Amino acid sequence: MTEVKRAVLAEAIEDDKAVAGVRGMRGRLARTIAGYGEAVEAEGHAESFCRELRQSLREQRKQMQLDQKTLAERLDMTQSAISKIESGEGDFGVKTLFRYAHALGLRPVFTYMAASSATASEAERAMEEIQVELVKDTFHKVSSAMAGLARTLK
Amino acid sequence: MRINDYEFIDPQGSEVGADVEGLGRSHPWRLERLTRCVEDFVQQDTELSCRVLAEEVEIFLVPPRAVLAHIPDAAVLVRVDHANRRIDLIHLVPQYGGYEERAQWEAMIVLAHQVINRESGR
Repeated sequence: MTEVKRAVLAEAIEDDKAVAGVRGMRGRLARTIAGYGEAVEAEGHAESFCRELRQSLREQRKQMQLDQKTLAERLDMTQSAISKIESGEGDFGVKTLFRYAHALGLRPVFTYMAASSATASEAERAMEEIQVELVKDTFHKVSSAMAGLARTLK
Repeated sequence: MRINDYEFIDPQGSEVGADVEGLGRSHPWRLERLTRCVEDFVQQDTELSCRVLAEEVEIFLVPPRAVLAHIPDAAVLVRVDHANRRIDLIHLVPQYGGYEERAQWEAMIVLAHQVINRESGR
């Protein structure tokens, strides 16, 4: 049993009666319909991805020692809306992600890799490569600007 | 009103159950999106949901009309029986939304009334 399937099962046991009922139906359909299990698993990964994004936003905010109230003021939102973004469930908008990051003075950067190889360590390595590229790009821009400035001063 | 402690009835063996299984065979990803929407629906307050008919037994469109109007997808009519604390699926629409949305919405209202009238013997 995959990690996602175990997580789905564990949630079904702990959750509310109605949710457990819907998840029971999903489990039955996944067992009996070819191809549906794959869709369930992919959707589980998508849910995890959203959860990780939310968590990363919360961590970035905490690293900057900002509380939810201050961030809410920056975004003209309520504190409960910020709380919902950070700890809500399911899908949330790309614009929301961008606005939140922007309010922290950040810009989200994305990359893609084969789903089969998307382990945490590989994702980390990919992010390191992006960071190196960004540093190179920044160095190049600063060097060009300085060369331009030097030419002007001459 | 919260309905998360109601019993969800698996439609297996019913007409809508066969439709759900058919959708799963032809469009498994669409069915999984719909199932996630039903899961969200049973967890949230019904006041935030898209009510088609408000009687002793309420009927809702899942996902909400506002979402489907912009992104056509599978939808389902969900019956919430407060007296018996039960939730079940009563009609599946494999593709809801887009240009036909208004006509589809009107058909949903008619269908919801038919279901309620049939059961109450009106």
